Amino acid sequence: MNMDDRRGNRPRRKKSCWFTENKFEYIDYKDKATLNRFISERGKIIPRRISGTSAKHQRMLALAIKRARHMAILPFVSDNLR
Amino acid sequence: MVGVSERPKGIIMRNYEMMVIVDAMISDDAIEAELQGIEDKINARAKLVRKDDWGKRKLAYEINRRTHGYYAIYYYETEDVDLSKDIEDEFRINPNVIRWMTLVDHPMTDKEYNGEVSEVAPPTEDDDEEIGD
Repeated sequence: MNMDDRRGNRPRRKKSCWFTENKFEYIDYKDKATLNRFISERGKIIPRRISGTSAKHQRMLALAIKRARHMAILPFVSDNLR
Repeated sequence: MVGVSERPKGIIMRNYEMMVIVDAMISDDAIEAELQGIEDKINARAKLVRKDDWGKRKLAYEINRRTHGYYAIYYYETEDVDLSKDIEDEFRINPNVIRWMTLVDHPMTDKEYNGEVSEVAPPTEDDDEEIGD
């Protein structure tokens, strides 16, 4: 067994913020297609540790997702897994 | 009468964005009447800049046993800080309005977002590796 793999010493590719790359100045709660990419199958907000979103955009994203949930554009809990 | 020049200081023109979900189970005429009623209330005390009509959509979750809602978004500008509150007070006692949200000075886009598609391509795993030759 490879010790390096177990310890997580594999070199990681640097994550980049999708919103920065696409020059988003703000994230709109009405933009369901975009928000959908940053929620899990369960409907949870994907942490930036995984998505690589910048802190600034993650804050905007979280607010937008919460607004979208209030307006029933996105689910609070997605139960299509069952 | 208070003319524009006599406007007291400190009152600012603000942009509002009000999204309303009307019960889609009621008749089309009743929906139309509700939307017109909201529009009239805005027009009476503000300047309606734009109105987006998303039409009937399935709600992401049930609200008071309703599965579908009629979405409309009103963009208006006014100095009247009480207008949105007054309209929302009426929503609260109106059983046909199931959800609403008013945002102040939220940046307005030209996009309508009423479809499921976004113009920007989705992120892919190997986005940054394709810039070879």
